[in-house]
Amino acid sequence: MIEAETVAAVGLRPPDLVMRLERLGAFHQTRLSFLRAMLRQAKREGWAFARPTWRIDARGVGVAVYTVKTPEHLYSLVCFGHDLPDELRSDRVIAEAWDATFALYDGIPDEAEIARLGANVPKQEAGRYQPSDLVLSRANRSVRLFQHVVESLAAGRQPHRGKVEEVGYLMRTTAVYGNGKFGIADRDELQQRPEFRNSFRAEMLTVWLIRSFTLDLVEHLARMRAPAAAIVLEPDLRRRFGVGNATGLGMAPFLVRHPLLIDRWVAAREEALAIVRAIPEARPETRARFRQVLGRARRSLAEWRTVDTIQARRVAALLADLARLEAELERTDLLAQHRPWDAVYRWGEANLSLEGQEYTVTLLLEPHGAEVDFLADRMWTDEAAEFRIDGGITCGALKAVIARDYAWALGIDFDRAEATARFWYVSEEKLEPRLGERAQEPGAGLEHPLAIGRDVAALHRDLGTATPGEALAIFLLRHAQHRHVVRRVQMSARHPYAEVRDNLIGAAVRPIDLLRCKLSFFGATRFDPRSDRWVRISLFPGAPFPETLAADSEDDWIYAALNEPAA
Amino acid sequence: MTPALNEIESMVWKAARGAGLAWGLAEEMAQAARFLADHGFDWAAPVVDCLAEVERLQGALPPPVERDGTWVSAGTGPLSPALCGPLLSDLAGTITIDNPLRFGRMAEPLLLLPFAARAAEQLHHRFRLAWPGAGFVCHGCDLWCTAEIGLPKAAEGIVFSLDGAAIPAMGKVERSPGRQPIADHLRLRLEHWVHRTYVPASLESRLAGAGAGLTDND
Repeated sequence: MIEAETVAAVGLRPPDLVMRLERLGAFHQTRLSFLRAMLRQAKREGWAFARPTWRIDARGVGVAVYTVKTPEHLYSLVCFGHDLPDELRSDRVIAEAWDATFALYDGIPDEAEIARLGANVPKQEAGRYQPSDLVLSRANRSVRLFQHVVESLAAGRQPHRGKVEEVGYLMRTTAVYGNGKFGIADRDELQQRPEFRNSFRAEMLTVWLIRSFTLDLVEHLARMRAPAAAIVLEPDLRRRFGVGNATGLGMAPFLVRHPLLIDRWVAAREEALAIVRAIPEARPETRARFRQVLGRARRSLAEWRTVDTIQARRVAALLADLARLEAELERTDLLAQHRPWDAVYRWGEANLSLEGQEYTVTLLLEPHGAEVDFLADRMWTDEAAEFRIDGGITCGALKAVIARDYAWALGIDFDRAEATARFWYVSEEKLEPRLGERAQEPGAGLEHPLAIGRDVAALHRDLGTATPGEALAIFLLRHAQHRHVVRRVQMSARHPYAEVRDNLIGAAVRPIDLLRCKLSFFGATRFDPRSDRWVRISLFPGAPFPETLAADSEDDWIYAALNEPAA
Repeated sequence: MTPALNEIESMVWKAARGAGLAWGLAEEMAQAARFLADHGFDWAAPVVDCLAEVERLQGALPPPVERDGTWVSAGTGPLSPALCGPLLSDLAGTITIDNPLRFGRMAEPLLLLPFAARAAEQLHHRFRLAWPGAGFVCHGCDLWCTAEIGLPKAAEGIVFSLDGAAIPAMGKVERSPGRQPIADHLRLRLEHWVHRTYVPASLESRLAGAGAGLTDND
């Protein structure tokens, strides 16, 4: 296979380098990210869109339906608008009322189905759903922007560009549920459909259609308020709106609980990087494209606003990094060398911050869609297929695997209090994952199995007391407490990027690194941490709309800046 | 209530932990319950019975021990499928035609079936799982039921073997096209165990909450 040979030419980055929390927490979107891959697929396959139902009143209350026709299936986003008092609006996942609630539905709902959904979807977690209901979500208006946009349009003027830039979205989702939650369709079923086989595609479609709803809604409300004077958003400005999202600790354990999936995601990104780095020569048009995207990225990233001082420093460093990369390309002949993209990567590795290095990965993939886009279709897996533990191997053999793959864990002294300062648990009050302080909070006895490093180190210690030739199955009869990490060790031996190679219960752990990593694979931009445990992001700012997708020229909308109208 | 497969897996995972199983065994029980539900078997009653025994023994199930080629309980009661299912799965790659796994008296033997089926799928072997009154053949992803399924609370003479016979002509077990409801009394038992895995709020945890101290309505 050409691809395997190409990858072998420069090799994949080692998991000990890639799978560290600090680096995962510096990942950025790439052209493999799910929302971009979803839109490419929608465009390639000519998905057709319509809005057959719009029964929304002057307060924004009512129902709207958006439909999608893929080559083999029909789907509908059923949207419910509500009248939510300001004081009830909250980003917390535990809220009980929202400005709008949504379900992605399998097919086109008739009135009876809309009524059934209307009796459940507005209640979200408290409702009950069927296999025909594929994704469930809800969103709240941005107090800062929503009203301003409605008032401006009603008065016949465009909203203030600076305000649009500052916030970036009209509504923020606080949860997007898939995979069987509250009775909706199981992922097993969706995975049988080509359009939803890859990770989170149905969720991305849902959020993209929610974006259309939010924009249609502000224009509708303005028109209802001032039928004669109201105008619609100017197309370039309209396109700048994304969908906000607030994500907290609930998402953090996902990457740890799905080792095979994270391996597929990271492996696709790393294989793409290796393919690009191995390219022997850069064509002039590819070089030009790389420089162009670099310039656009700099302008776009300059609009990244965050209230978090750490992230603000990192954004400033990233911008400085990209300026240096641009200067380096002007000053030297990096791109004229043999394997020019490898030279760029190596220069970045030696000279840039982690944010800068990982953004360089994003940039390197960008002009190479023809070479790497196929990898976006490999970002899924059948987790159950590798669930079985091979109990026939010996304890000695497993111990050797641990020594090879988990040196990072064996090197941590878990007897030190700071190495086990935290514990992951599920809160009875919130029914959500939480991170507790072991010494101060009760509940460590109910710790969830996310302390992988500590638990593998304990397994390694106990394996040392067993006869090396003893079968693992027999060892596990005496040591059932190690079973969950034995499974992981065996999976990791086959899947090098399966494990986050850091201590997830240490005093210094920043859960936001896990969130950021996952959200980068979604294709999120403008990370705005609100603490080390939750983050706001924007999805789809700059993206085409269903009605403009077919005419959109290139998959490069993600680099559009407000001061650079999208073509 | 009619749960989705993922809800079954998630509920049984936590319930098994709450009843007293180690996390890794709880994962196995959750996968087993999901498999049975997906293939139209009544999964909830055997899982609840099995976990009730786990709870009664405070998680300290007597381990299976091998005596004269048969795995029997080191304790006085029957073997638990919570331990023997995973053991069967762990050892599936080591058995030969002449050397099957044999088990003595075991509670809820149906719970072994998912482990036999998964092993067949992942090792690409053909396995037979049988006890007096029931027989299954698992080959790759396919499953056949070769005898009227007796679903005893306990069975003896359970044999898990490599199968050399021809593929059965009848009795193929297909994946269930629809979901099955779970009886309320069984769901409540499971939810009771699930609840034990949650940590009640404390003053400290409230202050350290994920979004504490920041406005989130702007």
